[in-house]
Amino acid sequence: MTEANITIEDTTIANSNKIVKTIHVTGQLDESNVDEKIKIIYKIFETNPKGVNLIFDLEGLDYMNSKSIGYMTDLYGKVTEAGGTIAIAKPKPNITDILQVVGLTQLIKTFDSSEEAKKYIAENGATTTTAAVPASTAPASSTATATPTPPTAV
Amino acid sequence: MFNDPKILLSLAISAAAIPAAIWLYLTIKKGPSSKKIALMVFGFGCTTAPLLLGLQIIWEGKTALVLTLIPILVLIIIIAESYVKKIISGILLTGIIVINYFSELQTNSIVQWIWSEKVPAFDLQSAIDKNASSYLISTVLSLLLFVVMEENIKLYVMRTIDRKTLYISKINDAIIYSVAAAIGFSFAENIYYFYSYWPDIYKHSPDYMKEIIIMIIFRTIFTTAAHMTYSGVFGYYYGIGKFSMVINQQNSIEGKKDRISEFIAKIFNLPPSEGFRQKAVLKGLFFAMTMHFSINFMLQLQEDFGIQILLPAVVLTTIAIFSFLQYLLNRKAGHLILLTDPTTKRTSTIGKKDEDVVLELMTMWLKDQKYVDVIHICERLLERDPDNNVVKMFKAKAMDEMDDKNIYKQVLGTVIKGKNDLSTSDKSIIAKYVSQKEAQKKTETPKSTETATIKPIENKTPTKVLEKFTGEGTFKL
Repeated sequence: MTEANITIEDTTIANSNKIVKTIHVTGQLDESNVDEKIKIIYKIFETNPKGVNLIFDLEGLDYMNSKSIGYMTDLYGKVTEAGGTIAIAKPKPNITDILQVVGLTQLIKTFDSSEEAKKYIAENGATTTTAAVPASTAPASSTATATPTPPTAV
Repeated sequence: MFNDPKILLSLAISAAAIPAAIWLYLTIKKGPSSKKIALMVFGFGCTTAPLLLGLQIIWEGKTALVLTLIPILVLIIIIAESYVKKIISGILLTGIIVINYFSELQTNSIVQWIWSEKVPAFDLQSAIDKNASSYLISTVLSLLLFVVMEENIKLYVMRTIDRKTLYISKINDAIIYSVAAAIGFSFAENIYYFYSYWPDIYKHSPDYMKEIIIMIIFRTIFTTAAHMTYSGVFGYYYGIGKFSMVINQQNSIEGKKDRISEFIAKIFNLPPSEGFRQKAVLKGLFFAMTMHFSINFMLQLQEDFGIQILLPAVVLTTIAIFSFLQYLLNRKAGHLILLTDPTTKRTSTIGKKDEDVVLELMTMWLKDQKYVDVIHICERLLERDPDNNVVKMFKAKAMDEMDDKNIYKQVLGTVIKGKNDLSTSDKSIIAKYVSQKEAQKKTETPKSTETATIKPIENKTPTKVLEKFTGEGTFKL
């Protein structure tokens, strides 16, 4: 059985309240382990049904089989339906080749670094409704100047 | 005019030649790799009927056997590649000439014993007539004999031209050349029939012109078409067998197992693709002989027992097989050039292991009827590995599958108005997501948090939709 590891990390993006999860994938995803490992990623949707954005860090991924590509396509569908975005960071050249030929690069942007991927998510990713700034008629800033009241004396 | 052999022969040739020329023109119009080769095969096919007729005439006596052997042995000496074959043929030829031309040797008791005891006559027709227990068995065996001889001699024509390996470079070439051989065979056979039977018809029938015209129409249209269908189907399987390496590889990627091919390869100690090839050729020969026998048998029953329904059944069967051949010739896989000079093959710019992953995914999506995605993947893969015939076959297969559904959709679209979307059978994933993304970009304002309305794709025809992503005219092979 070939080795593969998937770890998920909450990622914060400055000046943003978006839910972003970075999924670090290392090793080789093949028939012997992909069904088992992919469940870890699908669990994200149990706790975050809407508006989650994903960054796949594939720096350590050496090989992915056809099934894992099928899963990635499915994940793209789930995330985008819920209003989120996916990005891929630091894929190896052979992985990029596969994704490009399959056509996934038309759907999922790939970046050479995690920072670029985060920046992309910051600009395009879904904003979660639970952390949104509520619409309010109150002054936006506590330093705002109060409107002076007109004099009442005749 | 039917009493003068020269005039009779000229008339017979003219009556046979014009329809044969039309059939040949329609066949060559289907676009073989080389029209010259198609004409050459036609010429070769013309010699096969006289060869068989000659065999029937001479197989009655041992003298005739000797006369036949001499040219065969001369031919072997000239064309055989092996020196052993040349030497053995030379020895046999010398022996035959010596025995026949030196009368003292012919009276020798040993020579006489060899000739009378050991050299058999091989009149198979006579053997059948003498030994069959009933008329039905005699008819069946006689028909089988001629079917086997005719189809095998046409197979021999294909094997001969195929020795020049690059002559047949597409599956459609194999079909077209096989059909051309059949037209040649039928043309020569028709000349013989007209030459042989017209004098009798003229002598014994008051309405001889009508009978002659019916004979011409029947033989030049129906009989020729029938031969074309048998050979066309054989040619298709011959082509499949010729490109066995590519097709076997495609089957292997798709997870298809061919037990019969594996068995043949094991029994004869052959590589797997060779086992597949032999099976394909045998399959084609079997189908050709079965169709040929069935139709001849039905015609014979019609003639012997007057069962009128058989002739229409035969005609309908021939038309059905003809239509099937048209379908095979229109398939995109048949137009692919699968055989090129291996020294000009361009190297792939994608790793083998990565390419295998993509091929595996493509197979899954082909099974799931995601034809648009398969076509897209094939196009991108061919940019990286342009001479990969397996990928070309997959693309052709997906396009053939889409085409069938497209025709149905288009016909349905004219009947049911207001259908703007693609067929529900088109299950493309990535292509659908890409088109949704494109549509979303057009309707979405920057940094909007509202969900964009996804508009349906406007174009009805899938080809236009595909060209949107891959550029105009990319789906013409």
